[in-house]
Amino acid sequence: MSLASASISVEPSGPKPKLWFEPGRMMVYAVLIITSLYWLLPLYVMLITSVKNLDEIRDGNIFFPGSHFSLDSWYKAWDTVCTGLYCNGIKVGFWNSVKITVPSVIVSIAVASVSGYSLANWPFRFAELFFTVLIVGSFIPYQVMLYPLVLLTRNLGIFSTLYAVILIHTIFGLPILTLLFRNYFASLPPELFKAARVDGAGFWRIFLQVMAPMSIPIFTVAVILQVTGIWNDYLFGVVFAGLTNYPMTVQLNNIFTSTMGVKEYNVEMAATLLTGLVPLAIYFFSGKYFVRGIAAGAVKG
Amino acid sequence: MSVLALNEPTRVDDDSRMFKELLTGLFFVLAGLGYYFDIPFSFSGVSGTIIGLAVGTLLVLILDIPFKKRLAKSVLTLAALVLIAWVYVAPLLLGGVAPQAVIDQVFKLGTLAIVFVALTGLAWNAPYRNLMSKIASLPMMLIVLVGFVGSTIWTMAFSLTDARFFPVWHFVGYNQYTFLMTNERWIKSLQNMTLYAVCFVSISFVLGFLIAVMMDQKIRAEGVFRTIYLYPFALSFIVTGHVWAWIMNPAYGLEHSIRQMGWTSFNFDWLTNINYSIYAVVIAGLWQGTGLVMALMLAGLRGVDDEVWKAAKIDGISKWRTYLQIILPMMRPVLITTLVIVASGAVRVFDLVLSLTQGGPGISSQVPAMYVLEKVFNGNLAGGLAASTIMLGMTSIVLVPWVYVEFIRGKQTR
Repeated sequence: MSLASASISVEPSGPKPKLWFEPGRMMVYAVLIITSLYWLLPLYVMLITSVKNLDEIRDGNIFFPGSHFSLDSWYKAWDTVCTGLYCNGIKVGFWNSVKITVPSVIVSIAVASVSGYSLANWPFRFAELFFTVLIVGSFIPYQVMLYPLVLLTRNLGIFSTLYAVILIHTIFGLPILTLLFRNYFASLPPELFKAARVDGAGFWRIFLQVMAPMSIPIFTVAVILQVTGIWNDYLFGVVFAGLTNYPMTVQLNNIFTSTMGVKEYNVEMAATLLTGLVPLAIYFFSGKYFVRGIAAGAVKG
Repeated sequence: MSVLALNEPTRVDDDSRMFKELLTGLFFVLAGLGYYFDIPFSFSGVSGTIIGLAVGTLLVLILDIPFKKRLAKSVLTLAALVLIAWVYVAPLLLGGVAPQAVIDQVFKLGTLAIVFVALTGLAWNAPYRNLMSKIASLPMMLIVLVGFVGSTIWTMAFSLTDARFFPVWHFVGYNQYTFLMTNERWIKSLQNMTLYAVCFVSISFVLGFLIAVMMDQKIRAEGVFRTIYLYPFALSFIVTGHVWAWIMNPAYGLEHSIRQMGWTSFNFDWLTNINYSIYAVVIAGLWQGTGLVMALMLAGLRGVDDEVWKAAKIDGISKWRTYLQIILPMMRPVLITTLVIVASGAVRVFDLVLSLTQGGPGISSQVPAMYVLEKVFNGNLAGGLAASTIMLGMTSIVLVPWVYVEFIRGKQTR
């Protein structure tokens, strides 16, 4: 089955090269360095803009750092900038995002790991069908399912609350996570499962005492995938969370759309950087797991 | 599949099994009768029907009712066909609107057909096989049936009404679609989406493949390069959009800075130019998404057997020809999966446009997702739902062939 391969190696293999200054390789390095500079440019521009003052921004060059350095715009972005009606800074959004992300990650991973385990080790009739529909469903545009889900949450009485966003993130995180867990559990040696069965362990006991302890890496991958995904979400936050629970991305967008009077580009860029900080930090500290997550989730061939 | 062998049906003794089956059957009969005669506390109306269908299907599936019996299967297929034919085809043929009462009857009969199938199926089932697994998978099943399948069907059904603020079932056939096709903003949105998708997919594929090939040359510091190319993918579209909006800012951004450096005739006003604003979105999108394509292609390249390279070397095939004519065709599964991921992402592009251009200037960079959201929550519900159904249609252009290759044909040849 083409969906079954779990671990995809994205690490380099073979011996390290000895010569790197032959012309062909120089070309390769040149191209790679130039393109990566282009890729780094926006991050650099964000950084230097956020520590300039407004005069330097108006008169200066977007690509050169100013002579002036201050973190004032960072303080302002965090503490006092206006995000729509209120002027309490982006910190409100930060804590809202934390409140949304933590439970969503826990719930979605709990549901998905159990489902993946069921699908891999205890397949019931139509399990394959459910799984196929789940995977195909993850490609359907969110807009198609948005309004029915609004109705559903409204009927459940949780629309515009944290519960609604958590539910929605669980729903839309399920396909990729289930795929991840199912493939991982299917790749574990079946003898383990059989031995536990012979010893009389049941569904939950095998999961909790045999499978889960062996699956720390895949749980790590899932956490990273979900934290970055949920932190970066805008659509579900703006539709389901309700005014007081708007996540950081929504608050950030509000800074840009609701600025009255002078547009403070340095504060805006500081707020943008702050919003990107959590996923960036996770990415830089756990790059390998991040890559593994997207590769395992995407490359099923 | 040795794992499967262990999951023998766990036999419950016959008496209790019979009792449980009778109970389930009774539930079905009561639900069916109550539903048909509109008894309170049973499902009624179209939303109810869809929820009813979802719950009914769920029960059928959990109880493990085999659909092998030809009678049950044909009844179900017939019911589904009649349902589809009546709702979707009849208005076309008759030119008008199907009478409300008839639609209700069709929906009800359809549901009853499922109940019938369930009842007949009960005679041959094995409901308690892997029961705990089914119970544990209940949330997943519910999400699939209600969240994905149910919601999609609901949206498609209500796109055939003229609902405005509230989802009231008043059937008007294809009116919303014919209106959309004459709506300037919607047409522009569709064109923009197609442009974005084509540009984004083609450029990111070419760039991603080239970078992946260069990364595959056993270079030093590969991890550093990969980290750099992929970091934008960890950022949200909102952040991406605002950064690029700042870089392309007409007053203080790229244009201003390059002119200041001496090239005074330099022109770059894509963000505010109605002919180019959608390409500005492409630039930002490429910055965010090319790393992903690169990473997937690199994984694909690494998946190719070393023997292939040795064989090509012995045959004296040059490196570039090997990549283009041998490796690339071998990577087809990876390429197809990447295409589906990237293209379906392009169809639902929303946050990026919202933060970069807000759909402007004018309507020049509007995309379908923005149209849907605006209509659905601002008193043109059915119009928005019809628009989102068209988005679904656009996605299926890549999705349907992929599903066929990946799931249906793959299974037959296995």
